[in-house]
Amino acid sequence: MGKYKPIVRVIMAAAGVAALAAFIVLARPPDPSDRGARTVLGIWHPWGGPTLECFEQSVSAFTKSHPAIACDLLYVPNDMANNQKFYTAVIGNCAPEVIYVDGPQVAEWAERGLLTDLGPLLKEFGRDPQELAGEFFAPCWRQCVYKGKVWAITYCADPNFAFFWNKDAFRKAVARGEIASEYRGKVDPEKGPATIAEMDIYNDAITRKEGDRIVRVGIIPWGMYGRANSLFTWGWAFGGEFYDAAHFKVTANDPRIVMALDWMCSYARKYDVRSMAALQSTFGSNEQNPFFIGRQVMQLFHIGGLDELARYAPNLECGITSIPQPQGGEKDSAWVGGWTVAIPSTATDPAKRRAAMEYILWACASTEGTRLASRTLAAYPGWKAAPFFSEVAGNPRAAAFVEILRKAAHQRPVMPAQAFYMDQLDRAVDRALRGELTPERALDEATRNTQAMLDKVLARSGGGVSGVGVWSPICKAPDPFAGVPAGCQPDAESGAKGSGASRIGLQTPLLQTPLRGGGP
Amino acid sequence: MNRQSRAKALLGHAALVALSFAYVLPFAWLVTTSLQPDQERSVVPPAFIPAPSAGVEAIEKATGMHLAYEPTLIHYERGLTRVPVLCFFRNTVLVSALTVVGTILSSSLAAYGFSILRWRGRDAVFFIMLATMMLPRQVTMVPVFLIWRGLGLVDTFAPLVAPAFFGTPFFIFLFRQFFLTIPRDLVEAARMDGAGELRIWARIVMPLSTPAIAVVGLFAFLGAWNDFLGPLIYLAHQGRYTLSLGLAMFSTQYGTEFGQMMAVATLMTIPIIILFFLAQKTFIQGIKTSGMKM
Amino acid sequence: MNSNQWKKGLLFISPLLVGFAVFTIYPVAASIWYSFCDYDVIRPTRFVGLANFAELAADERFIHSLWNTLAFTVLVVPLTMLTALVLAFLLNMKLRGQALYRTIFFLPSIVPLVASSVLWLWLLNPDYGLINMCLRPALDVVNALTGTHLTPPGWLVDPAWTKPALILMCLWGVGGSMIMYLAALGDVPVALYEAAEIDGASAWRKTWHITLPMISPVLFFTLIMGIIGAMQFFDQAWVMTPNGQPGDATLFYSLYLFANAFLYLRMGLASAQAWVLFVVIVIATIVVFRSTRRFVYYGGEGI
Repeated sequence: MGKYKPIVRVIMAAAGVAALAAFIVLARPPDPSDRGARTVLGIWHPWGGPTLECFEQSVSAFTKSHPAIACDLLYVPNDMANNQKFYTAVIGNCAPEVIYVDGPQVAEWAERGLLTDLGPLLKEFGRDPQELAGEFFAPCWRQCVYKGKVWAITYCADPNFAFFWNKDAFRKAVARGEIASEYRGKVDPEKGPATIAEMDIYNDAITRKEGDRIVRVGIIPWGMYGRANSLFTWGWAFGGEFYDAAHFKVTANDPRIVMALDWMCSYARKYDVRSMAALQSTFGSNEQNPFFIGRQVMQLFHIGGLDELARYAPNLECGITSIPQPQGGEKDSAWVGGWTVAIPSTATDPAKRRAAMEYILWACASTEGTRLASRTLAAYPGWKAAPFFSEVAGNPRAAAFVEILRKAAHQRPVMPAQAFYMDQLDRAVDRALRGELTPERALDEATRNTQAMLDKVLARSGGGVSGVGVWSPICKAPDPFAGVPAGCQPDAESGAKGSGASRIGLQTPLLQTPLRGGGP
Repeated sequence: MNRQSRAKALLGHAALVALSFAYVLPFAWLVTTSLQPDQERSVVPPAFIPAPSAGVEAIEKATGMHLAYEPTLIHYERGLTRVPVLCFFRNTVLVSALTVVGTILSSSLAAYGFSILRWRGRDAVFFIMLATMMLPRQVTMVPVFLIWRGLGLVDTFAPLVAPAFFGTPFFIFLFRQFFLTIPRDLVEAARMDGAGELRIWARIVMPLSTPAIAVVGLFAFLGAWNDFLGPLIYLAHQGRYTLSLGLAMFSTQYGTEFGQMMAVATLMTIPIIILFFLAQKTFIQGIKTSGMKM
Repeated sequence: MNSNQWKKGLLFISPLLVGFAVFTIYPVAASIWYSFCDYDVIRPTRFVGLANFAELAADERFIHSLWNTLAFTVLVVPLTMLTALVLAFLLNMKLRGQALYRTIFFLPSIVPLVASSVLWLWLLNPDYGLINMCLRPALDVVNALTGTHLTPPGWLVDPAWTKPALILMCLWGVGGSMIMYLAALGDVPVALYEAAEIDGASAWRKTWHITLPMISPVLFFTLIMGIIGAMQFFDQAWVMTPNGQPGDATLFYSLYLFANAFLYLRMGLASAQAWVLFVVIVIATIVVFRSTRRFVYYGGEGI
């Protein structure tokens, strides 16, 4: 710097500042008016990785058939742990017109005023919500409805789970005489277990230890995509119910769920839980799933498992059926997860809302849309009339999943403390497995904590979105629950509690702009 | 070299080599995964030698372990075309470069004020500045977002770059520590010669602190290069996304394209390695050994 | 003459002050307000007084997370500092191939975490991870010699070993500190060493009496930053053990805070947590500042 004359340095500094300012100003989004007269839809989606290309193709098919609409796609990691972008966007009133919502989160977001009630929009399109409900698989539709209103439409339904068993491994074990005498004859490699009791036998027969390490295991009951999901699966299979929607009551300590957890823990007691967990702690990626490398011979998979099987273990011969039935429990028990599409509450422009609804109906409930959507990985449509189902009829493995989907009767609890609930269930399973608490006590605690949390959230009923602070533009989202009693509880006393609490609160002019619309 | 120093050198070499194996592992893994075909990854333990040859095959037969694999460039090909990596690269370079410039300028100036200059309350203000680092980012994220929203600068690079021009406590602290080791006599002498503070900063303090500048530049670049949360929240157009967001695009809840992700991640590390090589020379100079600092 | 250059001082830190006024005061004030409110990020805040703090005090998971974080900090900061220092000393020996070694030791810090986490899950796998594969034969030898029954640890699967597993991960990331120490080591005037050698000082005395004091400013920096960073430790824990499993062993403070803020949507509670952490860190930092004052030598008599 000392080399240059002062005037040169001043010029350099000024040029640098000017360049900086220019850069900051110019790095703005292009003016969307260059789209002509088309309505521009911002769509935030979570379809990355292998699904990205297919998704982009399906959206361009939409724009081709709907020339009045242009779509701006944005990939946004959007699962239960990555929603900061959406939340800040809504509060700052710069949210998109279409957002993909993880199934179990619909209620959470609806309760807090993040989503638009789709009922009136559907009516504009001549679709009666009641009728539309019949067009979707029942649990898929239930996920989208909260407090009597429709907040989202199912985009894909993940049937969870199918029961895979490794025929090769069983055959080899039988041939080599590795099966203990008391189990011989009870294990048929060609036919999977039909009941839990049978599965226990299969498991005991095939599990092999070397010293203190388990080198091959039958099934690890708590290893089905996380402990909470595992508990959901077996809990429902045993006939339990996790949530009483009519009364907003958490029922994780349903005796049949306790039974399910007890059964899961029996595996931990029989075999060293640490050893099993070690076996099951894969490399964090799906290809080193112990099922594919032969260390685990029975496992529950969601539909992604089919693609993974084709990719990482194409020569593995396995059977696919539905979950074994516990004694006195459900036959062919299954539940649905999946993604839905919704409209954020900040999208108030009527033209854009209509365009958004157009997209949603196309993607979720039209032959063309669902055909393209189902090309993406793990996208079995939730719409019963999708051509996809007849297209895969010839593929026995996919057809097995379709059967499971048709018979699925459950979905995760539709309540606004969903993430908390799942965490509590995860903890309960963890503690019960390690013997810290009995299954009953563990689930009691989970129930207690979740109920307390749920009550707190419901007590604040009344939506509207806050713009916090002097800097924020005020977002005039209508109160999504106008006309619905606070807490929506038929129970008189808790109803009163709800509406009273929502009125209390200091509201400082500086840091809070209350935006409740009508209110109860 | 006498025997003692030769022995020391040998020991040093041995230690370095042993540790290098451990420390090179993450990077070796990264590159290996980016070159392996998909099927290889389901093998446990994974193969790590990229070129099967007669010698390796012999060892494989002897030990029964699977050691070699056929390298492939398909992940690079697919990764670079699936996701607009070049566009993200350009964005990330822009943001990182500006961040570095801003950080070095503002942090060194502020550090000058906290070290070379003496004024009442200086250390208290310094501690308050340091204290702002002690509040986790998660709770200030929302209000800060709203500030930028109010300024109308969401979906630009401003929220990512501008804060660097206002001083970063971490780097101010680092610069301060380096500046405090500069002899006061030099500064006093310059003052007596009539130099203004800015000139002292530019002509004396900064040239004496090139290692610190190199370190700050490197870390500021690294921070901006790998920043995920900032770009996630503030960028609303895919054309503006940075590389860290681009990496996230390779995974979904239903599966991750590991090969492609690692390929792009490998490419992401290359500029930093280059920068590191360039910056290295300045760390080790020892330019102050000419007695000025005694 | 100029012993109170406050005007110039303020001028030099003016960008900092502007940034503080614009970007710091409001968010800090807002978060203090949130900590006294029931705030779910979306809906307006609702004042609840000290309810959040009371809830924290009664929450055993909160106490546990605080304890986890403190234990982790106490372990990880000295270990990483020591490792970085040893590496820096090794590299300062001016052996051949330095540039290559420096790069290698710095590499783990630049590999994106999302990529290296897969590697670590493998390394730490109790059955076929590399670390245990190397430990097992060593322990077998020990067992044979001493008749004990040691087994390799379960790492991420065993509540007692998850923190050491994460500390091990952190030891890989000391490249940054190592660079800083290298830079500081390069600053030490050679003349000092020459004078000491003339006086017949041994290598150890040279290190203890010359090197360490001369790099103490940077050591102090990494100590403070290490403490602040360890108390806010989040990234690796989030990727490797998202729920603090098993058994809340790795439920670090920031993990619990993040869960409260964005998973359970209880930003008010999370803000209360943040301020409690703030107080803890401030106290820890003041203690460290005061107690190490006489160990830090600013050669330029700068202070």
